[in-house]
Amino acid sequence: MLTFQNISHEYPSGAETITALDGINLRVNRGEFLTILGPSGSGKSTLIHIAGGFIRPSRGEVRLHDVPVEKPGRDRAMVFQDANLFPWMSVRENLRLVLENEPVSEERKQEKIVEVLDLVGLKDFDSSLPHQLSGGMKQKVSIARALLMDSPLLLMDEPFSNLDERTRDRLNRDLLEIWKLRGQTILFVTHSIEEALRLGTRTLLLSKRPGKIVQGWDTRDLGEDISAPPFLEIYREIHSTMELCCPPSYKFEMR
Amino acid sequence: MKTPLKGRSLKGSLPGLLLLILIWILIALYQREIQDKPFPYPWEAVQSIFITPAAHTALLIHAGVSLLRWIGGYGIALIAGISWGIAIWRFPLFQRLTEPLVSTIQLIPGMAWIPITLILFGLGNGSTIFMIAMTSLPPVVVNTFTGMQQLDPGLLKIPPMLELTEKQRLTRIIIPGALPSIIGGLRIGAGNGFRVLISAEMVVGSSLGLGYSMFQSRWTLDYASAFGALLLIIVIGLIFEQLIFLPLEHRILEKRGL
Ligand SMILES: Nc1ncnc2c1ncn2[C@@H]1O[C@H](COP(=O)(O)OP(=O)(O)OP(=O)(O)O)[C@@H](O)[C@H]1O
Ligand SMILES: [Mg+2]
Repeated sequence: MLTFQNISHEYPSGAETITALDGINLRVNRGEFLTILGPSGSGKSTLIHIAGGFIRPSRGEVRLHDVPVEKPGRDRAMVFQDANLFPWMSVRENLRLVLENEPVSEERKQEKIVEVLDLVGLKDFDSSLPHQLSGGMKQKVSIARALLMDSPLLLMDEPFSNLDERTRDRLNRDLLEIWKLRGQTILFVTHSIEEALRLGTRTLLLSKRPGKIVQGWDTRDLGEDISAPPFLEIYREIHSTMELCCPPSYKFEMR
Repeated sequence: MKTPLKGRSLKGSLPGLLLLILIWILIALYQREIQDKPFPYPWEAVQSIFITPAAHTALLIHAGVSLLRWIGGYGIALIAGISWGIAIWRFPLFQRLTEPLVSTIQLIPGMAWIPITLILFGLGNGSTIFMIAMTSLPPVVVNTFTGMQQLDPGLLKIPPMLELTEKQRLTRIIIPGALPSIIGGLRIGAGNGFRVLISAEMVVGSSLGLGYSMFQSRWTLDYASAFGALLLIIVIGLIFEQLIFLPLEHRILEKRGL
């Protein structure tokens, strides 16, 4: 449903250019939960911002349902590394903004907001202001906002990497539930092997500068138990591939 | 360390005010009793606000006129300044054309407008209103623009993603986002305008206004009423600062958790 055709991207950097992505070809299939794994600086954010329409690639084209992606839009809901909630709006107002131009009644809009708040477990916080919420709760509101867009594709750029480990684990589980319930296609970027394996039905590894796709793994049905043999096996395999492709300068988390 | 907004409340500044009055009394005592100069006591100044010698205009009427002029000039600066700031933010060409103009206006000391304003408006309301508007305007324009420009770029990704209209983006996101900065500009502008108002009235006031009445005490030797006028100026300033701008700023910042 979403295809990256020969995507390359360079950032100007003084007199030179930084090649962030080099010749990415990729197809995201409908209904799949694709995780993209890569060390810091491998161009993950660049890639997903290109899919979101926030960055025009230097070369190549992204197509959603065969229509070229040229700018951001409601058909691609994105969750960013920061929650990006409007600090002067309550949780409800932040979510209400999504439905601003929807041709449905106000009651229906409020119903939808309650439904989605219920889904992310923040029913009692609808009138809170963002600064009154914890980091994890803010990110949940950000996810609720993306869900409310009702788009077929969800783009997530390390949405949990600023959170503590326990909160992240819990939100991972919640996200899986939501995905199973909603059946949206998800493209999820992370630098944590564990998170990639736990969430994804498929995992792709991106190398560091220039970002290229190194290898892909089928990571369906690994279960949640990260100490189970199949999980550990694939974890080790990805870990050693990562060490080979993109050594030092960045320490990967070990378990 | 910065004083928190709460600490700058009216109640908090009471001891300072009392001290000021005490110093005033001491100076008046010395000047009156030892130097034999007609330095008015605080109570004489207060009295002059309410009791007016025949053939003089009451101080409260002067104050009313000043206030109306200020509201006129400041109102113009508020509307023009915010619109100008938005236009600079929105249209790069407009920015290039008019930003130097704003910086130039900002450089001109309030009273230096007098030759221009006298030619344009002559003595009276027109001149004072024009001078208030010109001195209040620059901080409003600059703060509106910078407030909009300094919005968190992460937040700016949301409107296009939600496909909000240009009007919704401006009224729901950009302007509310810049509000703390805009209010700050409005506060600075209000102070600028108020100060120039008093001095302007001394020159182009034409028989009305607090500034004019103060300046007249040179001839009338009614020093108590000059001090009364000064008191009124301070009270009006305090009302705006303490009862309007500070609570407004406080509410806006508190909502954002700042
Ligand atoms: N606006 C920019 N201007 C110049 N260079 C940039 C810009 N954004 C990213 N880069 C560079 O492009 C490369 C890829 O950046 P990107 O943010 O896509 O990586 P990432 O994989 O998301 O990293 P992280 O895990 O730290 O978020 C990096 O080397 C970065 O320094
Ligand atoms: Mg990133």
